[in-house]
Amino acid sequence: MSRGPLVVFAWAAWITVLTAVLVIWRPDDEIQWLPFAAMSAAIWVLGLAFWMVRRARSEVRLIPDLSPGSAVLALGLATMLGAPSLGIWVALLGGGIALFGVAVLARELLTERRLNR
Amino acid sequence: MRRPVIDKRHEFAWLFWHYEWLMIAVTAIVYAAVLFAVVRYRRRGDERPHARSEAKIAESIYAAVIGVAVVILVALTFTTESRVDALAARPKLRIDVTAFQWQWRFDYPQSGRTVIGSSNREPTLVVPARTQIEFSARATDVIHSFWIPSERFKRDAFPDRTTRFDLVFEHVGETVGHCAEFCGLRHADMNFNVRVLSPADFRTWAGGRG
Amino acid sequence: MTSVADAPPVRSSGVLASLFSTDHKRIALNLVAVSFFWFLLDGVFALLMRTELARPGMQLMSEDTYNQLFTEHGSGMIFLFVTPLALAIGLYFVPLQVGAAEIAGPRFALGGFWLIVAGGLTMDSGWFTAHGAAKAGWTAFYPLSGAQRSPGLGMDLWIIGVILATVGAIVLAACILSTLLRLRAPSMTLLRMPVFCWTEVATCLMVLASFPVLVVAMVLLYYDRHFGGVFNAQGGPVAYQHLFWFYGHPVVYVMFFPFVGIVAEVVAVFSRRRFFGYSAMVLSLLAFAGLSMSVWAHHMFATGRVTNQYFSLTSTSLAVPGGIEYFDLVATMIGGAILLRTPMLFALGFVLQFLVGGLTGIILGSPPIDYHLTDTFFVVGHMHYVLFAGSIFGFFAGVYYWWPKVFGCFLGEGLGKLQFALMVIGTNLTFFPMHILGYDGMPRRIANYSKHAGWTGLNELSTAGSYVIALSMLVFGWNVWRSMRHRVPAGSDPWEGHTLEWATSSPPPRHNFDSLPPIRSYAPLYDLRQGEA
Repeated sequence: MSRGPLVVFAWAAWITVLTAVLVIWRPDDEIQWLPFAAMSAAIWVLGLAFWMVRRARSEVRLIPDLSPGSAVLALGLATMLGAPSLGIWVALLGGGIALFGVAVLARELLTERRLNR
Repeated sequence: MRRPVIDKRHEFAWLFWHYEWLMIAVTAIVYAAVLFAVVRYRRRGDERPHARSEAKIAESIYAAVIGVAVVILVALTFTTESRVDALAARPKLRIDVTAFQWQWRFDYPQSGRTVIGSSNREPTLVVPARTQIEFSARATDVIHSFWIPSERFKRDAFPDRTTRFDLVFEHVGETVGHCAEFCGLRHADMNFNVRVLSPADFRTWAGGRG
Repeated sequence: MTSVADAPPVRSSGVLASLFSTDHKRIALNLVAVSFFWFLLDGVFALLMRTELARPGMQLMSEDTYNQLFTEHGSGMIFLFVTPLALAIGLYFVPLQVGAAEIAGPRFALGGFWLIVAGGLTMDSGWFTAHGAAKAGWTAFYPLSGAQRSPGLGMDLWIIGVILATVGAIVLAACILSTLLRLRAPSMTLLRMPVFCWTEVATCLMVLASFPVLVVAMVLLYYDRHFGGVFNAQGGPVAYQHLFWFYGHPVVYVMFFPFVGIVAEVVAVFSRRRFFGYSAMVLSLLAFAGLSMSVWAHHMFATGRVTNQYFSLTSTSLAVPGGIEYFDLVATMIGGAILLRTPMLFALGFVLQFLVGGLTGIILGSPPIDYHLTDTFFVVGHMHYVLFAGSIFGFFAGVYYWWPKVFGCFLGEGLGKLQFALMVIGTNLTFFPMHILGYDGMPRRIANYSKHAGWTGLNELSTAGSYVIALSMLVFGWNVWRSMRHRVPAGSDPWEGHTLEWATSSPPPRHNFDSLPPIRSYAPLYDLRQGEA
């Protein structure tokens, strides 16, 4: 079960090699290799994240059948993204929806914690 | 590195021929293998095949063969490319290409001539045959691309930097060119004519200079 | 084995409830349905474009409308159809194939789904604005996509839509990858995961490694449009292209890998053989995915401003893992007992047609050749062979294969074969002539062409093909409708499958499994059947 992060690390190593070849081939064109170098580093971090959370979840847990809070929060955040183009009222509307979503989600999570105790 | 300019059409034809036939061969082999499998190994009753599911040596050899093919293709490509991308040390003729939404402008700095296209008249790029011409391409607004299909070559024209490339037109005659980078509303209309004259006729056209 | 029980008070049904479900199967089906809607919409755009392009002259529409159509067609198909589809199929089947009761982070997955829905609605809402929908191509190169050259709300909404859909995809990929790496059944080691699961590993890694860069590119583009100062400098346009294509190449493998995974499963099951060369396949998939991150500037050869040779080398090298995958697919069939049911027909269609697209891709990976062929209809032919003649055929292989599992009944075999035949004819008629047109000098993204160019005949042929494709979709729709009306029930394992999804009921219960069979390889049910024989 703990070998999962290895896959990510192996892949990170491979793309690091490919990045290194590019950097060596043409070091002075930074915009050409910078995104690649950054994302190669990011995959190492991803591997690290998986490695640090590698204990498998084996306990039984209850989760609710529905989670309207997740959907509402996502839609609220999505709405807020329209603000720079559509106006400040969109940010307020989206923010309101997002806050409502957070509230619903919080209630779901509290219920879940209570049921799992 | 500056080297004599080669006819890009010939380079393209030679390289493409190699790729084309390799791809046709690969396609034929794979199609034959699949057809063979589907015909020979069609299920007839309730048979349960027990063939092995690994052949590491065969597969390694196979991968190595593809690797060799890759090396060959890359070698062919690299050598062709260095010829195609080459710029002549002393080009006989210089032409400045300016791309704008949605037509072309050709300037001949050595003779002072200018040809500008408009929305109802396509410009004609006049060039001498068998002469090394260095083009400098630039755009005034968005990215365009200068493409003459018969030359098997295109190069983008940017608003922030000049791109340079050489072309040689082998034969007297007429052909066409297109913008090959989507540049907005009338991208489809951004075409030009190409007229290849004999060097003598071109000198006349250019006004006795350049 | 982890299991999930339903929270006591709420037992809901109905459409509204299903939209908020935390069941990965429900979310996945919703995402498939939404994606399919965008497929049909963008398919209609394609039909309109093909109808316009059949003959020289503008018969149906203005150039402006055509430009919006191809922009939204390409954007929609990539951001809203095939990419979400690739993840949705993983969202449904990965937990089942690894013996898990749920997806990791079900609420995140639900949120990701809604972000994609919002993204699609936002992107296409541009049609209703004053300046119209975005019209800078799906690539939105700068300066064309800048505030001066693409004024108006449509372009802004497109950018926001892309950001939303992309973030949604990133969230889904994180959930699927977490499931693959952390929620497998105890005896399912990594090297006992089915081939489809490994394709999803590779897919999710590519999503997580490249999609964030697109988000950055889009945010910067948006900022530049409203406040300036990002790309309107020396080197700005090329910088945008690097950022865009760094995402823009891996995404096409995101749109390919899960479908080759489906094809691998189908070929194995319908040849009655374990999949051949499993370890080589796994290695190839990961190598291929890594290489795919290093080839992006092959889209930029004609700029003359990138290191062509590096990208040509990495691009051509893709032939090695690609070749191994083909070897394994064909070797699985040889020595097997092949049954040519509809799923297998579509899988074979993928194998034979994707090859054409893959090989034209290798051709395009050579800069001197690319200088002529890039930005022409040759590339349009290439991309549709890999994405439509390839991936979508793989998708339909999966549809016919997995429909009994998901819905508990079969899709009609006769209509399936008819759909397949029409799709083969239509696809090749539509997209093969494009290679010839591009080679002959026809640029892409043009609303019109000259009647003296000699391109009319092939364009008419291509348009005819597109109508045949449309007909095949009608046949599919009819097949779905009929099959759901006259349900022919399917048991839990109608095809003698190899993998764990066939070890539970059709459709699977909320918690996926009541019990798991022993897992000793990547084909546990096949092993069981061999043991019993």
